[in-house]
Amino acid sequence: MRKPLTISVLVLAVGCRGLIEDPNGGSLPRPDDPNGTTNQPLCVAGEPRDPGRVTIHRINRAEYDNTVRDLLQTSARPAVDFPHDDHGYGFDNIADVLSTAPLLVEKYESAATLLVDEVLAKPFEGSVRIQYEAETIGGSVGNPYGGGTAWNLFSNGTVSQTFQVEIAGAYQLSTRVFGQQAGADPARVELRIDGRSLGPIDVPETSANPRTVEIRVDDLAAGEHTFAVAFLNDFYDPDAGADRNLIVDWLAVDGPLDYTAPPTNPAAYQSVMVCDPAMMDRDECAAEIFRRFAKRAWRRPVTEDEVTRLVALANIAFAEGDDFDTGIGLGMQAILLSPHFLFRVELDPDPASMEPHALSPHELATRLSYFLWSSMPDDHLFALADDGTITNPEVLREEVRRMLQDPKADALVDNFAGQWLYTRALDDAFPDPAVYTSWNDDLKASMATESRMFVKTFLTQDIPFIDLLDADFMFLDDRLARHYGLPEPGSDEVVRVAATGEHRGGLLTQGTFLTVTSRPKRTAPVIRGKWILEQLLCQAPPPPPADVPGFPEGMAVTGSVRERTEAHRADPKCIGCHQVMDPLGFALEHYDGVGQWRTEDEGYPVDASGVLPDGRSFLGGIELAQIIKNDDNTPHCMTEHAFVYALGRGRERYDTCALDDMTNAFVEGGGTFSALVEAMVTHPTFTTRRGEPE
Amino acid sequence: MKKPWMISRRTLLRGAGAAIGLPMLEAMVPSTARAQSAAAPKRLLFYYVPCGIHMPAWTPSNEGAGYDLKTILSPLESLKDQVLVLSGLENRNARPDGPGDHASGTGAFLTCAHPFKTSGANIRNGISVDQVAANAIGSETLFASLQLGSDGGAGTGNCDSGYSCAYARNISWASETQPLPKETNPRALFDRLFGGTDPLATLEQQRRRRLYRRSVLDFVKQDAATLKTKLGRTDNRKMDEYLTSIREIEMRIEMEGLEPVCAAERPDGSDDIRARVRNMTDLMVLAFQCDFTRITTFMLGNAGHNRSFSFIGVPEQHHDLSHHQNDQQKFAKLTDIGRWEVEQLAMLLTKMKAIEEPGGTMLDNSLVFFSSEISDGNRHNHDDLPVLLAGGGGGAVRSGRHVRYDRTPIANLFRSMLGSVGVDGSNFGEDGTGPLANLT
Repeated sequence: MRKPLTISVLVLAVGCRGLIEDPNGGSLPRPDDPNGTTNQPLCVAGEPRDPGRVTIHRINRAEYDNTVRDLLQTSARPAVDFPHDDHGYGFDNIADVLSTAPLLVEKYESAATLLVDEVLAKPFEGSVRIQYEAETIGGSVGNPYGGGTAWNLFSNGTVSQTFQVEIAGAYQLSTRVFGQQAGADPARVELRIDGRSLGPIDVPETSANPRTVEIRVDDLAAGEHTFAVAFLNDFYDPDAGADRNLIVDWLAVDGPLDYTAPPTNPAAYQSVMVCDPAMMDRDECAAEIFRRFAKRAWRRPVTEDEVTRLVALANIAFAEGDDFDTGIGLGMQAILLSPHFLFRVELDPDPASMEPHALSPHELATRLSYFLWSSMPDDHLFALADDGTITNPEVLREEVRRMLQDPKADALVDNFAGQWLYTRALDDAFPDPAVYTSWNDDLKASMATESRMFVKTFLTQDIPFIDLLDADFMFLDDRLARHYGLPEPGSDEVVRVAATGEHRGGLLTQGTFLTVTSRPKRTAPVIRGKWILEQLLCQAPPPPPADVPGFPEGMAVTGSVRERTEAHRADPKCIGCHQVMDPLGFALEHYDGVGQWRTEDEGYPVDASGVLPDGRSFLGGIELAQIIKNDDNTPHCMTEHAFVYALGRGRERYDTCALDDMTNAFVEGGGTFSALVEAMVTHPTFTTRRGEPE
Repeated sequence: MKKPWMISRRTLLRGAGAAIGLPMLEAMVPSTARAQSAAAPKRLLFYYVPCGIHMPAWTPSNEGAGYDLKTILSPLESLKDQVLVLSGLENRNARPDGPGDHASGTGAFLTCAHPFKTSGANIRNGISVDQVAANAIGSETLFASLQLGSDGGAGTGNCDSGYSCAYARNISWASETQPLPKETNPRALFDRLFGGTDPLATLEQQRRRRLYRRSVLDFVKQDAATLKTKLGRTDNRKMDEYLTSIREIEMRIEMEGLEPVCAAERPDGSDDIRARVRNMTDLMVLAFQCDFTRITTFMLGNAGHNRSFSFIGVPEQHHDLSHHQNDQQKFAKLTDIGRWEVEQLAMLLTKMKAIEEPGGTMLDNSLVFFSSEISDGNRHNHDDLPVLLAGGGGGAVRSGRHVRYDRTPIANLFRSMLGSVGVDGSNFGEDGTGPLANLT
């Protein structure tokens, strides 16, 4: 059992009631009685919990990009062009909120085509033809013919052209010729490759019906070659006025013939094309390819009926005379546009039954991989799902530890922490450079890296997650160190250094947090305080009524931000919430709107002291961090945010006891991030589900 | 089937120098039946701006034709005769349950329904007026309607006081439960509009491509249909959204051979808000001009948007400022922001006015609705909304006036707008009472 709440109980006493009211008007579920009149626990360990249900889950933009990366080994990120996913409960992976509109499906269709083309691409589609005009080349003898449209070999000689072969193989040499006939014999031509004769050929044709001579050469090596057309039997009888000449229109090289180029992206290509239709029955090969690819794409074994339908789809292309790859590509496009790919499907034996049932091993592996990697399961997870061992809690725990060490777990930094801790908001932060002269994109990038590396440390190392608030290490480069007024680590790259704990240490003293909770020109203690209540303590205050005065920006009230803030909350209908929110923010007043240390605010000395309604007092951000770290709500709140993200659904009334179970296991398991994840993914709320009444 | 003399869109795209917004060349007039009719098509455009408007600098002091343009409306000087300023309209259902006026007002902006308060589960609103029109006349064009905007949405946080971002970021709703997301990248929109059939492909290649696309869609439709039989109530609704979307693509494939031809240049990839709005404006006009669609919605920001307007000398953020507490300095800044927003509208209207069509200009044949999710930023009121109606609607309205109403449902205006494109809107909007009086 958790200890009684401290902050929230006092807030209630002074009338910030919205703190425990949900938007629909009911009281938020609490494990302990909100009125404090009874000490009876609501949750009894070991009692069954209602696991609820997750709506069929369309994969969001980040998940789409990560999934195709792992499925197709592509670096393409098609989701950049997808419409933004709407948020709910603070995250953009909420199944109920993720809708599927025509615009999006249209983009899915384009992306599927693009991705399949990329995997199946071959640099060379087939034979290329190069044609040389004889009049341009000129001959060893003769002169231009027909107004310069051909070349006239008027005595024995050649028209000769060198060309480059990139790919060794079979080529076709051809030329278009005719004779000016005279004497007994027809004109005779000989095609030569590198001086070697390919045999003489009689050309009885005349200008009325020129002839194209084609000869195949089977083994042309890569490199330079010379193709010559020779006139062999010149005849001239001036007395009879008889003159036999050879007119050459052009020379051409076609090839390589019968050539299959290796794919552009061999690894991706081979991973899909697991058999060769030349070595076995074409449809059987297609079936085998689809069986494997669809299983990975759909994150479950496919039925033979599904395979048969895919082969039938490929046969539509075969019937049109298209090649094997085209047919396979058609099937792959269908697989990538299918709801089985675009949605994470979890089936209930009876969709209308409230009776909980275990997820299938593949559904469980999929939940796990989208939670930790925002992507599909890897081969190892597939293997554990195939033999069912993934349902063993010990195996699950082992997988969590393995997966958190994988680089793909960066998805948690971007998507979970990025939204929970607002680090993503740095992209949309625009401090006024006129006020903060040191602000620039490089500094912003250093801050973003600091936040990422800081959070990442808790995912991969065995340290209590709650040390986010007061870690004895920090991440800096020289630029950020100067910004913070700390000794430079002597590095342009962000590196880990020890935190002194004097002014800096922990999340609340970092540039990202301090910037994203500020206004462009000043700090906003109320926003910082509210952020702490919402994101760290899960004690969101209700929004202010629309008609209350906001913060006095101009000259009406003078003084520091703190003094002006205090003046404006003197209103009795505001004080209830603000006497909790504001002191939390005031404690951070030494950090300006971009996180620099300061002792004065526009000439007024900074007062970073704070007193909560219950009498707890603190001075500055470092002491504040300790108050929050020691608040019983904090670990519970961490669980709650992770819970919403992991399941992709809001926290419901019936989840209260499950959240308590998870928090207890998290704390008892050592309080590490891994312990939190293990507590969650082994809980029945994660491993089971139910239907919903019709 | 294309006539041999027709210049394909792609061919023109390849050529450099063609500029967006050029009048159509004679040779490019489509030969399709739907575009051959003598009258120009009638269009509807819905333009959204966030955070309300500083009304004292908006509302004309006098009514009728000789109305005066206050500071915010001053960019409309040259368009005054094409604009109706409608005061005193109200969107009663936009009022939230408790706080949340921005999201609720945005959700109800074109639905006149009461958005159900939720952070995620059980989202429920109503069908929006543009989608009522799209359902009725959208099949005439390649795109039944377009949803456009200038901003995708921030990556963190909740949207507004217990209301999901679905309400705060979408004004087009295909049904009670399905918001339609918007395209916010001008280049992606351009590719969508112009990315159809490759004209260099032979007819045989085009036939084959259509066959393949249709076959793939048939396959996934069957997947969805089979899946539906195994799913519960909520999941089935999600699968219906998917199926509806697939069918819309199928319809577009059927129409691809009939595309009108049109010339344009791909917009630059600038990320600056001013360039984004300009490019989107060009493409909105182009989409009408090429008859790609007749119905468009555009959001110049999302609900309660907190954009900093440094580029017009207002580094403060819009939403913060809109809670003005009657501070004169903030009034001045809000007036600057409002005027900038109306300048963007004026840019659109000017372009529409420059395009000659049968029966006048494109603007004469269109109705452009412009408003915000609330009226005053401090009061968050949903009555006395700032409303402009620009264009002639093909003779449906008598513009160039300021008309004052008294808490009249804005649904009535939407009913009239539907009527202007020949759609029966008599049931639109729960609080609607009939077509809006005094428009003609």
